[in-house]
Amino acid sequence: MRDAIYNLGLSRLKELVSFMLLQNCHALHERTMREIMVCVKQSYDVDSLKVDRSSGLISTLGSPKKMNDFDRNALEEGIRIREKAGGKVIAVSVGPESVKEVLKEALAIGADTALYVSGGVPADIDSRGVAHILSKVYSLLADVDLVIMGEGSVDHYSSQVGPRVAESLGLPALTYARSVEVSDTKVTAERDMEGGLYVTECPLPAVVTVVQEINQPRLPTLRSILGASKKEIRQLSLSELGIESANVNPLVTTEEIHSPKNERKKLVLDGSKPEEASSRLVSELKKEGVL
Amino acid sequence: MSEFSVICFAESKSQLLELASYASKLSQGGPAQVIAILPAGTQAASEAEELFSYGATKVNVLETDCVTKAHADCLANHLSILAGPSQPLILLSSTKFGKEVGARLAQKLDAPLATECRALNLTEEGVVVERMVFSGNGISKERLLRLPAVVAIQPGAFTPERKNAVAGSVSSSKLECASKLITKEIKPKGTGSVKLENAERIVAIGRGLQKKEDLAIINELAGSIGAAVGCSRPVAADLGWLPDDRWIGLSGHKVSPKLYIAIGISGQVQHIAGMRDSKVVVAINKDSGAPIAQNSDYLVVGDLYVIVPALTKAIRTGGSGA
Repeated sequence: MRDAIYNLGLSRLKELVSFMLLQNCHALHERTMREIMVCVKQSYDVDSLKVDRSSGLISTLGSPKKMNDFDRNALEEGIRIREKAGGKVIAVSVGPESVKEVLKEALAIGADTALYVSGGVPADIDSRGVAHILSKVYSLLADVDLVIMGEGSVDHYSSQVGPRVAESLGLPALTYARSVEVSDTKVTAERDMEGGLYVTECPLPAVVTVVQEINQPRLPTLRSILGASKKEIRQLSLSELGIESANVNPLVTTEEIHSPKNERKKLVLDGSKPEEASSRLVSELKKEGVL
Repeated sequence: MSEFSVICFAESKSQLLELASYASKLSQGGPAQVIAILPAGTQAASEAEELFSYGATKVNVLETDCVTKAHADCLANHLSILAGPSQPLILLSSTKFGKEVGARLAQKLDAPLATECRALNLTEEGVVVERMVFSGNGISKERLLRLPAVVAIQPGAFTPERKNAVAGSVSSSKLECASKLITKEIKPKGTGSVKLENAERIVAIGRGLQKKEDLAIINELAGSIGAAVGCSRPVAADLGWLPDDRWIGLSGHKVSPKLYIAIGISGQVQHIAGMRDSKVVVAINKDSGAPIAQNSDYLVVGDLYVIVPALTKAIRTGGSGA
């Protein structure tokens, strides 16, 4: 009998403890609400660039622009983290007025608010300048836990901005992330490096850059597009952020962009007679000294 | 005016040789002092000697965990101290780690950085580089307007040249990792076979392959010419038929074999960006209008399931025909 009472007491105690844990979890959940700054670049659509046939030069004038593919993955990852932990995704972009278009798209995909820095931004700004502006935006937002962006951009593929922002803010960076796990005070990523997958963690706040394999970005729906029109897009100028022109005037300038040389022979062999085509190919490759 | 110096750092000795050799050709009012930072290892002494015969004038053997763990913050800090007030040019290898170290270092020094470079020249108006842009569709000529400057050069873009060894000084230093990162594990990605970058011949497969089992005919062709097997992005990233370390392209491996055989690969720009430096390119494709046609020396138009076995047979019989 004493055992029975004791057991009853124990189970009550268990109930009480689990109730307390639940409360505690709730409190934890409140604390783990994340503020996620996702940087989205409006890049050139690299598949529709125009090449001047006589000079071989590539002109970007009037070329269509779109959201950088890698930043779509960054946005998707930011939204997934918010869906798990709660919080807010803020899409941020830098550039001419037209960057508003990528922010509208980011809001339609699932960002909560958006902010762009226009006004006074040099047209030929380099990675250093963009990183400086993004760092100022981070400081202005004050409570950001995670800054996420693509590993690079499809047009310039410089891969500088993420680590530059981290360095300028004194933050750790997990670059080339293929998976991301955010816990209470830290973030863990599998970094996709040439030599393997590096499982690395660091304290929050942190910068994360993602590779395309991290996820399959969702598409906006008609409903989310309509919903996005009510969301806020804030604009800031350089002077409002207290940025001096010396910090954004480029230190790297582009002189010209030309098509890579193509000196391939472009010989076509008819494969409808496979034996003939094969033996001809083998003798050609022997002549070339590669077989 | 102080002597112009170039600091070179790369994760591997072979990349460091490329950088030192490149750096030794640069001059600004006299040949540059070339300082090579070599990650410590069991071979460090002989590697240092080798660096001198490829143009280094000083070698610093650096003992640190930061390189093997890919902790860029700590290493960039160390390099910025080495750079000091001498306003050097800093050359890195344009690997993922090299680019990250470069970005942090450039930020610390408030310096310009160019990554993915294929050529570099010193001019009166600054450092001029050529780098790959637009997913491999373009070569951009860019000017870095001041020193110090950081340039990350694509591995393999330059063949190192041996010269008469000049005795240089070797020093060593130790860097305790003070990174905010903690690396718990490094999982191997690949099969551990020949690295694609070192392969003389590569047979690469794309979406034209219908199922994983059909890799057998590809492996047979590769075996007949001693080639490594590679693939385009979908085969590794989407289908998972080959491990990641076999993926050739802009964000995969960049290769430069003597012979590259692209089978069932349409030739999207991102793929071309990874194999553009191949000496001879053969494509096997059923579509003569696929972009690979413009990027190959020989295009066999036909069904890969017929052509590949026929080609294997022709190679085995010495190409004397059926």
